[in-house]
Amino acid sequence: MTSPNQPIGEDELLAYVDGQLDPEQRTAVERYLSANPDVARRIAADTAQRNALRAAFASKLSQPLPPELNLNRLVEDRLRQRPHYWRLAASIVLALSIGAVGGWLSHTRLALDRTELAMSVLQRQAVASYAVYVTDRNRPTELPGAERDLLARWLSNRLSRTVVPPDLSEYGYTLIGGRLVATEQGHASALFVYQDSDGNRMSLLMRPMSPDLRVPMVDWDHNQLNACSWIDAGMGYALLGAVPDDKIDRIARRLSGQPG
Amino acid sequence: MVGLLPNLEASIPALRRYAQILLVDLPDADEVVRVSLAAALERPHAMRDGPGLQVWLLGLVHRNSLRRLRRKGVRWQTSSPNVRRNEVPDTEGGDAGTDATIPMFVRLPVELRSVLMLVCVEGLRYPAVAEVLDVPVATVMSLLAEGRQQLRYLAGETASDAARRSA
Repeated sequence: MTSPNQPIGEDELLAYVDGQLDPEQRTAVERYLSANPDVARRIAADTAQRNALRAAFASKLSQPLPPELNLNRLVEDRLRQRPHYWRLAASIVLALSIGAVGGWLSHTRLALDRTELAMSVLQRQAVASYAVYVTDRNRPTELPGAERDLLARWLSNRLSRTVVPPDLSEYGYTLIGGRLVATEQGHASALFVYQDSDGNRMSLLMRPMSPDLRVPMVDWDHNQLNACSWIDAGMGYALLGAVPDDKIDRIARRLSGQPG
Repeated sequence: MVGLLPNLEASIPALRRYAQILLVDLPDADEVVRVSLAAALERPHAMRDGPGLQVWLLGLVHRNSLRRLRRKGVRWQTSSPNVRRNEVPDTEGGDAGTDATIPMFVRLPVELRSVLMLVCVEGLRYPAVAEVLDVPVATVMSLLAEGRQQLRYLAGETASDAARRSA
């Protein structure tokens, strides 16, 4: 409700110049300005400055992009630093980004961009966590596997969703414990460390991700390690270890509920 | 779901304009945009679809630009507005041909350029500007008011310079 006598503040005057008022407020300001010619002159000057700025930058809009800001090239640069699996994906993205591909191909690209990039973040976190924690012979975890329930409660709490370390004893792996790991975004994710009777270790990273992301399982490897990762119902999973690839594949299929 | 790459690509001109107006140095600005885009590609799940994407990207460019300006000894200030100096020599930023608007604009302190750019040129709503700058909306409003005041002052100065020259 605006009455003709309602005082108009500086903020309303600013928003008037920027066209950020609703129609009712706008009318009130116009009424005020017609009664206050000094203020009206100032507002006219501000509006002219705003228009001059817009015009000045509009003429610079057509600056050509330098090659280092070419997005395809940036994507390629990012992907070149990743396991070879991603180089293949990169070439697909690049091929599809060039345009002149319609129909289902462009739909494929739309779906590929985000899931592919999310997957790479997950994979790199898994590799980094393995390198720092899982290889630590003495203290790879914060809580031992013997305290499985406490571990599950604590991590579920920190991740704000149910996180339970799976039992992999049928594959010869014992849970030796789990820990909290930080994502590069400052969020909590969970790392479980398993070991077989020969002392070979395997890790399962569980990282909360955007709820709409869903990526079927992919196999990959890093140095001497084999790995599988997938994203389901807003949770990213990465299983990584010095495990033969058919075996890690079987375990991952069990965990992801995907038919082998 | 909308593809991210096309949306990212569509935002690049705005990111460049903003970095250029903060840094007043083209190679520096493009480097900041490149670093910011690379950082964005690292965090695809943090990206938002729709108009929020550009605000998020501008925020990245803003923080990276400020980091670079700090290294050059330029400070972002939201208080004690009366003791600010112009960090840009009068002669710089003059690649706009005969148009005096941009050279005049870059004489403003960086925080005023920033807010005026986002509001006037990019057409962001005030809350979105506050999000890019990570300051309260009230701070945006006071920077905007001051930016407009200084622009009026500079415009008057330019007008009287012109009058002196023609006299």
